[in-house]
Amino acid sequence: MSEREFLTMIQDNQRIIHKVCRIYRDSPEDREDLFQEIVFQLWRSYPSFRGGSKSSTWLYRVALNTAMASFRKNKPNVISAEYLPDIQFEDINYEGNERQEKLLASIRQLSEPDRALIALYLDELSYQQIAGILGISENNVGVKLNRIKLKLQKLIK
Amino acid sequence: MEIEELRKEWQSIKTPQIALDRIKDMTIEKSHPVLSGIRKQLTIELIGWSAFLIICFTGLDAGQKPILANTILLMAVVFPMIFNIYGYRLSKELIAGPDISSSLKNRIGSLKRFAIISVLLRIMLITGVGYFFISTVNITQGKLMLLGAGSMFLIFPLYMLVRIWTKRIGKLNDTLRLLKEHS
Repeated sequence: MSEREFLTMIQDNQRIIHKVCRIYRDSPEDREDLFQEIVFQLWRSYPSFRGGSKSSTWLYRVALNTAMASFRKNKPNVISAEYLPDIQFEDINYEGNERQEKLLASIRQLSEPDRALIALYLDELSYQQIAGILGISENNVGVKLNRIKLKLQKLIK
Repeated sequence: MEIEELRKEWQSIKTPQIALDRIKDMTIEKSHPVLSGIRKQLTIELIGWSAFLIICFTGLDAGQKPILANTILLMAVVFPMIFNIYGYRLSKELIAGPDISSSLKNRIGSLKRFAIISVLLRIMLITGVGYFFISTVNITQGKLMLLGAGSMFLIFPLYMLVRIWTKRIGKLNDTLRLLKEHS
C-alpha cells in the first residue's frame, strides 16, 4: 500500500486517535504530543500491516500501545518557535458536551489498561477483537469488563 | 447512565479533522519533537566530549601519562557515545510485539537492558576520567579527600539516572501487571 493510502486511512479513522489522546493525556500539550507520536508509530508499523485485520483494529492496537508505552515529557509548557501551534492543532482540544466531558473524565480515572478495555468495548469491538489487541484471553476480557462497567457507572453518578 | 447510554455518548463524541498534509508532517522523523530533542542532546554531547578529549590529549600532558590511562579515557568517553545511538533507536521503537501485552513485555526487557548498560557506562565514564587525571599524581590524604568530594558531584547525576529509569520501568511493569491480572 502506498503513502497516499496510508494517509487517507489515518484521515478517515483519526477519531480513534483523538479519543485515545483524550483518555490518556490530561493537558492539551500532552495530547498534541501523543497524537503526533501515534501517527509516527503507525507510519513505522505500516509495512507490517498487511490488511489481515481491519484497519480500525490495527489503528487501535498501535494507538493504545503507544499511549501506554510512551513517557510524558517532564518539562514546563514552553512553545518553541519551531513548533508554533497551528489552527488544526488547537482543534485537537475540542470540547464536547457536558455528559461527554464527564464520561471522558471518568474514563481517565481508570487504570491505563482499563481505559483501553472500555474504549474498545464502547466502540463495539467484539471480545475476540479486544483479546487480540490486548493479548489477553476472551474470558479475562469479559471478567474485566464487568468490573470496569460497574466502576465507570459509579464514577459517573 | 446505563451502559448503552455511555456507548452512545462515546460514539457521538465529535473530533476535529486534521488535514492530510499535517498528518504527513507527523510521519517525518525530523519533525518529531521528542526525537529532535534527543538528536540535539546527542549532538551537544558529541561536540562537548570531543572537545574534552582534544583538550585532554593535547593540553593535559597526555603523552606523559601511561598508555593505559589514555586508552581507558578514550574507551570511557567513546562507548557511551556509541551506546546513545542505540538509545535513540530504542526511543523510536514503541511497538515491540503483535499485541499490547507482548509489546509491553518486550519493551520492558529492552529498556531494562538499556538502563543497566547505560548506568554501567556512566560509572565507566566517571572512573575512566578520574583514572586519567590521577594516573600520574601522588595520592596524598588531602588529594584523596578532594577526589572523594569531587566524585560526589558525579554520583548525584548517576543516582538521578537510576531513579528515572526505575520509575519509567516500574510504571510499565505496573501497566503490564494490571493488564494481565485476572480480576
